[in-house]
This record gives sequence, C-alpha cells and structure tokens, in this order.
Amino acid sequence: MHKLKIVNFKNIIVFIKILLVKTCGKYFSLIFLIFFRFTDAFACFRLPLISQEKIFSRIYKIIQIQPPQILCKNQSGSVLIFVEQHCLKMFTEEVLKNVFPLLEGEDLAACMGVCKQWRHIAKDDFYWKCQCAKKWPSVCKRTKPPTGTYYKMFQTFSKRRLNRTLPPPRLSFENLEFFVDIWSEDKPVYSGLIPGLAMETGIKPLPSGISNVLRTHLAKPDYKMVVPAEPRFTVPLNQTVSVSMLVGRNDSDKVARIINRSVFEYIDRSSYRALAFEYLDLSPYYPFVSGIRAWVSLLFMDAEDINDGVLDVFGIQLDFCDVAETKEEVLWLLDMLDWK
Amino acid sequence: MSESNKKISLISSEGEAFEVSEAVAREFEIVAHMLEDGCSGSSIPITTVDSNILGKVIEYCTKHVEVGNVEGNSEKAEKDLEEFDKRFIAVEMNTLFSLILAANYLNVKGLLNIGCQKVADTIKDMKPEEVRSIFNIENDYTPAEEEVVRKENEWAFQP
Repeated sequence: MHKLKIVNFKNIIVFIKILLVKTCGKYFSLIFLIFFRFTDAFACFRLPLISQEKIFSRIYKIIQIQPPQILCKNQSGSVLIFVEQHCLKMFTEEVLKNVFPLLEGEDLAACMGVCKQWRHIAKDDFYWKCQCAKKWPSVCKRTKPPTGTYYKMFQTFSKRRLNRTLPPPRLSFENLEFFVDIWSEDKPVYSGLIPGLAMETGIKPLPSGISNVLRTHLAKPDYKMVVPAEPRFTVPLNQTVSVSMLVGRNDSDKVARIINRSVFEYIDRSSYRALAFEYLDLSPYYPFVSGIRAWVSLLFMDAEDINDGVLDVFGIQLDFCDVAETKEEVLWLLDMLDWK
Repeated sequence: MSESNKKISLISSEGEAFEVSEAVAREFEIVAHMLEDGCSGSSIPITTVDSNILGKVIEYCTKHVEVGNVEGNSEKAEKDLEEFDKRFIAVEMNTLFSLILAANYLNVKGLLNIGCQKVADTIKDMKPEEVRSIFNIENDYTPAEEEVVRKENEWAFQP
C-alpha cells in the first residue's frame, strides 16, 4: 500500500509534466494550478500535505512563477494560501517600488542586474526621472525628457565618459594604398606602392640579424604600420635622406598627404631607427585639431656597416604615436586627413 | 478623554487578538479608513499579517503615538524617537521585508519610509551578486542575457 502511494506520486508528476509542457503550455498550467488550489482535488489522492506542496512547487517551476514564501499558515484550506502567495508577489513589487526612488542612480543600475523582475521594475522611466530631477532639476521643467527617456539622459550624461569606445572606423586597410618614396639627396633609393593590407600585416617573420632593441620595439602593443623594404636598400649616413608619403583610397579615387618630403634628421643608433616626422594636414572639418604628427622610421639591421657610415634598411614604419595607439584610432585619424 | 481610551482588537492571521487604543489603531491608515467608513465593531481582522509582525507594528505605532502626545515636542524626544526607529529597524532581512509588506498593507507611512530607507541603505554600493545573496533572489538571467545587462549598465560602475 505504501509502495503504491509512491508510485502514484511519481506517476502524477510525470503526467503533469507531459500534460503541461508538451501539450498545453503555460496558460493551461495556470488554470490547472488554480483548479487544484481551489478545489483541493488532491485531497482525493489522500496525499499528505507535504507531497501536495512538492507537486505544486514543480508546477510553479514549469509555469515559471517563483513560488513565494507563505506569509502565514492558514488552516482553512489551500485556496487562501494561494491567493495570499500571489498577493505577496505583488507586495514584493510594491516594496521595490517604494525602495527604488530612494536609491542613487548607480545602485538602481546595479539592481537591474539582479533578476528579470527587478530589471523590469527598475526600467520604469519614473525612477530615472527622479534621478534626473536630483541632478538637473531644470531638465524636468520640460514636459518630455530631451533625450527620449530619462534613463538614456541619466545613463549618458551623469558620468564623465573616460574610456569612450570608438565607433567602428569608416575606413579599412583594404581600401587604402600607400605611396612611399625615399630619397638620398636627390636620388630616389626606394619607391613603393604598398597595399593597405600589407601595411596592416607588418613584417612576418622578422629577418635574422635584427637587434633585440628593435625586436622589443616592434613587439610593443602600440599600433604601428611596418612594411619590409623590398628591395632592401642602404643609405649613407653623411647624406640627407628624406621621405614623402601619400595615402590613396581605392573606393573613392581620393588621395591625402601624410608626409611631404621630410628629412630623417634623427638617427637613433641605439634603437636602430632613423626618424622623420611632419604635422598632418587635417580636413577643414576639424579646424581645432592640430599638432598631430606622422612619424616615419627607417628600421636598419644590426650590422657593422653602421660604423662604416651606411645604414642597411630592411623595413619602413609609419605611426601616429602622438595620438593613435590602436588600429581603430589610426584608421579614424586617416579618415580625418584632407582627402582630395 | 473617553474617545482615546476606546480599545480596539486587532486580530492577526493566526487569530491572536491584540488590544490597542484607538489612537494607535488609527496609525494604521487602513484601520482609520475602516473606522471612518463606520465599520464598527471592536475587533478588526488583519488576515495578511502574522502575530509576530503585527506585534512589532503595534509597538512602533504605540511609541510614535506616545511621543506625539507629549506636549511641546522637545528636541530630546525627537532624538529619542530617531534612536528608537534605528533600533526598531535593525532586524534581519526577512523580518524587515515582512515589516515593509505589513506597513504597506496597513498603510503605516512612517514605518514604510524607514523600512524602505533601510533596504535602500543596504543595497547602496552593492553589486548585483551581493544583492541577490542578501535577499535570496534567484538569478534568472542566462549568462548571455546577464552580459547584455552588464554592458548596458557599465556606465554606472565607472569612477
């Protein structure tokens, strides 16, 4: 007899699961639940109260209602408990509605991360209007929030945005090509039409015979564009070496200047680089931005030639280390050039 | 004089009767309305509040009525009342929630305010995980959803 009861109990649960989930879904489950709560139909199974509660807790799970704690025990039957449980759920919402206006904006935002119910309640623009009213009472003199919602208003302007994320760049290396010419006095020693993608790829693998200083420099995360000097060339130290660089867009037939014949005035033997720079010509749409330099470096081998007064150049580097440290920043900076 | 001496029984959900003066009972706005609507009878059932909580709410209202009745409300009395509120609300979370629910249902404004303020103070500067653990709330977000919500509220956690 006892065993039979347990089997029955399991069967009931399986039956409920199949009935509720597979065929009828949430609404039927709710009706089912209400029916049993109101009629006390489980009493016919002569199940102990505890087992009944177990079944109900499973149903709660299926229909995704959090079974709220029972506020009080009621001897007069389960109907009242059911009603009270749902009142309690409403009350919990009531508590939050009273608490949320007392919170600071940051804490209200944290509350949104707690669970779906909290987020749903905290999303109500009323609480964000309270936050805005505290911060900018003048904003609430308007009948509507100037940004569509007060939430957006507070979210956007309440904090100083330190690490702003750049929007995706409009340019891509795929659509760029670089025109690089290097002179020793008036004699061209290198001229290359370099596709943007090659600039992005860099020199892989690095040739042997490079100083460790230069290897370390190239491995640093700040963004630089490096291309191999092909064919490799040498420049004598006692001559004036200069570079010019243009960048073209193959999607719109426009070109911008990066460097207009600057001289490699600074030769840093300890880091195996010769450097030239020039201030960028930005588009007139950015009239207040100035002082951004383009840097071109010749990378040379660690060889005894240096002492003979000749630099063996294996690579050319372009960077905008004054302002742009990531690929996205570099692409945005190139976008700001005076494209003609 | 006879008015304020009138006694009213408040019946908790367990059926226990609490005898209070009408002035205290009127602190429960819901009871005050009942009395004004001419809902006579000396016993009022409060079916959604259990004895423990009802006792506490009555304690709160009694204290506030007492202090309110003192002539020439001194600064000291007000300070005492503040102290009393502070001690009164220093209870564990479940009790606090029950108190707020009761205060909300019975419409006891003062208690509702200090209760909610206490919850707000507790939540202050907490991360969502901490809030979940102290209020015993199940995280019903999927990891992906949680990430979206976190991103959305990232602004709040910047210095």
